[in-house]
Order: sequence, then C-alpha cells, then structure tokens
Amino acid sequence: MPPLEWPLLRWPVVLLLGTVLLGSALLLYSQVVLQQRTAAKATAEQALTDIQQRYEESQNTLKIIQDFYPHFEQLQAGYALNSEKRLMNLLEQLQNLREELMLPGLSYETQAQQAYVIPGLKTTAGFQVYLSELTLRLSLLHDDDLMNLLKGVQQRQPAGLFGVKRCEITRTQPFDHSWRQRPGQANLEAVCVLQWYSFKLELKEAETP
Amino acid sequence: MKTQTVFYLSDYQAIVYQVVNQGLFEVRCFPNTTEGVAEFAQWLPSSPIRAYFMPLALVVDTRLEEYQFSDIPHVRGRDRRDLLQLRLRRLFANADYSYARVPSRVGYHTGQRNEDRALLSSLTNPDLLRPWIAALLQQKVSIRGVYSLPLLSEAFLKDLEAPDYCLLLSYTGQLTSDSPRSLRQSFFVQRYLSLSRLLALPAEHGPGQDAHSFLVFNEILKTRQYLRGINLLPHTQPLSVLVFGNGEQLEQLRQYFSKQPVHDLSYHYHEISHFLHQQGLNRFPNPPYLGFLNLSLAAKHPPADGQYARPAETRYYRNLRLRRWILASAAGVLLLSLLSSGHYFWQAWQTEQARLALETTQVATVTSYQAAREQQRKTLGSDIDVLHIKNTVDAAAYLSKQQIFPDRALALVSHYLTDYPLLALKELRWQVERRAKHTGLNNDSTLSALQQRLLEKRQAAGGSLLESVQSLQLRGEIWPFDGNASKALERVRNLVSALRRDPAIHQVDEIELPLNINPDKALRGQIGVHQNNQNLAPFHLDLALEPDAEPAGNPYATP
Repeated sequence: MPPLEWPLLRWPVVLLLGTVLLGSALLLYSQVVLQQRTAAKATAEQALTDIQQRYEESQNTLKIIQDFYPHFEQLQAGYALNSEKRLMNLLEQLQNLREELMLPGLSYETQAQQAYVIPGLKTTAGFQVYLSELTLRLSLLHDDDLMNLLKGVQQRQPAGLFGVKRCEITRTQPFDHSWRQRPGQANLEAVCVLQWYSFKLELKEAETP
Repeated sequence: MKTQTVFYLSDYQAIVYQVVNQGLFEVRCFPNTTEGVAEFAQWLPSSPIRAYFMPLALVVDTRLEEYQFSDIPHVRGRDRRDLLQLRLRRLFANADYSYARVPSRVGYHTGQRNEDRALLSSLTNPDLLRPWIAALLQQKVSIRGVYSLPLLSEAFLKDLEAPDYCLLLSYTGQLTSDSPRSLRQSFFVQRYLSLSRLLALPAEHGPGQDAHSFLVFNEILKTRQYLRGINLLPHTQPLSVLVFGNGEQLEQLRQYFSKQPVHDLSYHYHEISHFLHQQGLNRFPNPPYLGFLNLSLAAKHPPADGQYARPAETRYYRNLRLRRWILASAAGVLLLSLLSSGHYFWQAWQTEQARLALETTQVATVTSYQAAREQQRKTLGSDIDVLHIKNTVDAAAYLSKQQIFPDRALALVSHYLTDYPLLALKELRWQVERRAKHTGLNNDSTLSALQQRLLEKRQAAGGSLLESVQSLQLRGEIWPFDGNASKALERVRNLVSALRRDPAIHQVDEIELPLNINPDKALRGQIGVHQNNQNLAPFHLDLALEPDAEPAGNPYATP
C-alpha cells in the first residue's frame, strides 16, 4: 500500500483540528455561560425564597397585630406590663373602695413577685408572667362589703389579671345580738389573699432594615 | 449539479466524457498513440478534470482482455483473496492488470468438497494503459478504478430480464484505423460475465447490408460453437442473443436472422436509444452505443473494488476519500459543537429568562414586604416583639378563664343557711385550688417538664387540662341551743343532706357534729340546758364544690 500524500491532507487536517478546537471552545464557553446563568438563577431563587419567607412572616406579624394589638393596648393601659404602677394602682383602688364602702378597717401586705409558668402555654423567650399575692385584712360590718370590695377591684383591674386565692371570714361578735348596741363597730373580720398577675417583656434590639 | 468524469480507453482512442445529471457528454478525444498521450498530458492541467475534487473512472474497452475460469476451494474473506491472487499470479504471471472474482451464483459445486468457480481476467497489453495512467497520476488525478467495459454490462442485465445463458451483441466505436465500428459479444451465465469478444468490422461491411448481417450471424454461430466447446454453454441449453442496434441496422439484422432459423438460438432485439432512455441516460453522443450506458454506470455507480486498478494508481482517490472523511468529520464536529453549544445557549437563555422572571417577582415581593413592614412599624411603633404581644394576650385570656371569685360559693351557702336559722356560722373559709385533671397536681407553677409536656399534649388533643376546685369550711354552732343534742344533730344532718343533694356540691364532710356518734371516738355530753350555753352544739363541715372544668379546646383563645 503506497503511503498517504500528507501534503494533500495538510489543510483538511488543520481544518479538522481547528474545528475541534473551535467546537471545544464553543462548547466550553456555552457550558460556562449555562453554569453562570444557573448559578444566578439559584441565587435569585434563594433570594426570592428569603424575601417570600420574610414577607410571609410580616403578614403573620400583621395578622397578629390586627388580632392581638387592641387587646394588648388595653392590657398596657391597665398597667399589665408595669408591676410597680400596677401595684400602686391596685392600692389606690383599694383605698377608694374602702372609702366608698365605708369599711371600718383595711390593711394589706404584699409578698414578693414570683415567676409564674402557665401550664401548656408556649411562650417565646423574653416573655415572663409574674404572680404577686396581696393579703388584705378587713374589718366588715356585713359580709356583702367583702363581695362589693372584691367586685370593685375586679371591675377596675385588667380583665383576667386579678383573682382571689382564699378568704377567711370570722365573726367577731357573739350571737346574742349585743352588737346592735355598738353600731358602726365591725362584726366581721376577713382575711383574703388576692392574686394579681403582671407581664414582663424583654425589648428587642433595633432591627436592621 | 454534480459532474462525474469517465476516461474511456480503447485500443484506438482515448475519450474523456463527463456525466452531468442524465447526460453523457464527450469532452475531448485523443488517439491512443504516443502523440495522443503527450497531447493529453498537455491538455490535462487546463481540463475540466479537477484533480483534487473529482474522482475519475477509467473504463477499458480492448480486444486484449483475457478470461479464464478456475475452480477454487470454497473459502471466505482473506483466504479467498489470497487464493485468488495466487491463481492470478499463476495464470497471468507477467500481467500488471489482472482481476479475479467469484460470482455468487455461478460455479458452485457440491462434491467431495465445496468449490467455487472464479472468473480470472487480465489485460494482456498493459502498455495500452500505462502511459495514460502515468499522465493522470502526474496531475494527481484521483483514479477511482480501472474498469472493464464488458464487466460493467452485468449491472443492467437484470432490467433486460435476460435468460441464464445469453449473448449480448452490441456495436462499439472505432477499433482500428481501417475499421470504423466494431462488434462486441459478451456471454453471460446467470447474468455474470463469462466471456467477451471484440471484433473489428471491416469498412465495407457497414451496418444495413446483408454482408454485414451475414458476418454478424456467422460470428454468433462461431461464438456459440466456442462456448459449447469449452463447456460454458451446455448442449442442452439454447442460447439467447440480445441484439442491440439502431433503427434500420437493427431491422436489417432482424430480417436476416429471421431467414436463418437455428433451433438453439433465440433473438431479442433492443433499440439502443430507447434502452438508454429507459436506463435514465437521456443525452449522449451520436451515434449511440450501448457502451455509453457502461460509462454512465462507471461514473455513477462504480464497482467498489476498482477492478484492474492497482493500489498505487488509486492512492489519490484514497487521499480524496480521506480528505472527504476529514472534512466530513470536521463538519460533523462543528455541527455537533454548534448543536450542543446551541442547546446550552438555549438553556442558558431560558434560565436567564426564568431568573429575570424571578427577579421581577422578587422586586414585587420586596415592595409588598416593605409596605407590610411600614404598616407594621406604623401600627406597632415600638420595639416590642410581636410574639410577645401574642403571648401577653394569650396569657391574659388564659388567666381570665381561671379566676374564680367566692361570691357564688358564698351565695350557695347563704341560700341553705337561710332554711336553718339556728345554725349560726362563726367562721367561714373559702379557697380555690387549681389542679390538673387525673394528675393530682394542685400547684400549676411547679409542674415538671414531663407534666408540662403532658399538658401540652392534652391541649393539642383539645382536652380540658385543668380544673378549679372550690372548698369551703363552715364552723359554727346551734344557737340558741336548747340542750337537745340529738335535735341539734338532726338539724345539722338535715343541712348536710340538703347540701349533698345539690348538684353543685361535690362532697360534704362532717368534721364535727353537735353529737359525736362516731364509734371510734369517745362521747361526752351534758343533758339539759347549760348555764353559759356556749359551744355545746358546734359543727364543722367541709364542702367541696363540683370542679369548674375549663372549656374544651384551646384555653388560650383570645376572648
């Protein structure tokens, strides 16, 4: 078999090599472009997912605000978030009620606040419920005075944040109606332990926009 | 328009033809002499034969072509090739141009061993070809093959529906200087060439004369006799003669042959022009020869083996094929890369469009998000975590449902004591305890983590979690007491019975009674009215009211 005439094949071979190089370069470039576009799309997808998530969170926040904020404002107005003012307010109310009901005597004693865990209620970090107890010692003319006092406090306190734990009522006069000879003197003594709740919220740091 | 080139070489002349579509055109004719070769070599560089791109088929039409048959063992592939080469060297020892082939349907024997009958042929005068091929190779013309004109006739025999043993009779061009025409007789067995003879016709015996018909008839008889002599035509087989001619010439032969009946000869007449048209060759030189069809076939459908061509003579054709393969490969690579990269670019474009759409959505979402944040900022206006707001309201809602005041319990007791005016209370204690159902827990602020989880599970199941139990302690005495302890006991017992019938009261325990009749305790009393009348008929009752179960479902729902 005679050898190939390489001079005749030179340009076709060069053309073939050139084509292979050009084709490879084209292929490589197109793949790089595709990879870049794919990466850019993935980034855009991630960014969209993030912003959608934040948007959803903001919508949930708005829903919470819409549903809960009016009631929260009421609680805030009733000093549910400020235990000091709350106590001052409670004592002031008791003083007013004593005068209003013309009670012979009223003394009180407060205990230290205690952290209170509401069973089954999931709360986020930074939120805490506190329970305070207030012991009232009352001198009463009639047992209705105690009920009126408790109702009065209940009406003036933020709904649900005030309760009675126990009450003891003791007759101070004998059964022989001798008390009628001492009008205005207390016939009953009552000791009631009241419970009132307050909330403490940890303020969040300023958010970056 | 594709142009094929055919180089026709006879003993007398060389003619360059070109086949364009359905036409055969004569380009240039050269005498088959030394001067003719020189003229051809001079003409070739400026000829329409493009050496690089246009392969050329060389068709030889010569008297000096010898045919031999040889039986070879039935082998295939390389063994057959080697065997045929061996036979060729033995039969045509000094022949430069020889060719062997094994017809697939001819000469297949069954005996002690299978054998094939091979047709071996040779151009006995290589000098006829050598200078022309040298001139072509000097210009690097791609010679596709050196073909025998009679061998090419096999291609169109099937269209003639030729019988198994047939003699093809056709005229061809000038063979010698004194013979303007010649006659070729080719014998085929089962449409494979077995023998071919070329006869120069004398000038005075031109077609259309009885002497000519007589000469042709005699040549047919000679050929028949020869074929039977060498056993190529069995004695039992008639010979079919396919006569190709033109117009009057063909008619003269028909008339003459019809007057000379021979029992084992049959004639089939074909008008050449008509047959060429039938075979798709519409334009050709005048006068028409059947050989034009062979030339056209050599240009359009040349046999792949190149027949007589030697490897050195077809090297430029192999180069041409290799160039074509390389160029096709380059085109394929380019096309493939263009398609692939186009596909990737298309995908990239689609991805980019999808990204732009995502960004549009993102911009819209960001706008909505910012509006929502602004609304949130305006509404809330503080740095309070919104979840704390929910916690606060939830907790307040929960606590509001837990609070029980003593008014209902005290009203209940007052209601019953009204019916028993002699039962005077000295002390009343009321308290409320909240406990988890079925757990015995009474201090919800000290729930363990496990208990907390249990409560959460119950809450999730929508069950009631806690219950508030109010209890009352009543201490008093019968006043005024008349000393009748039994009566006093009865009165207290009546109260207890009445209390126990009340559905709001869960349990009444008698802690102390005016008359202690408990067999486990000692009894001490006084009959008659005592002077100071004190503590003689005391009683102490403990009451537990029915628990106020919290409503089922989420107890933290906002009121």
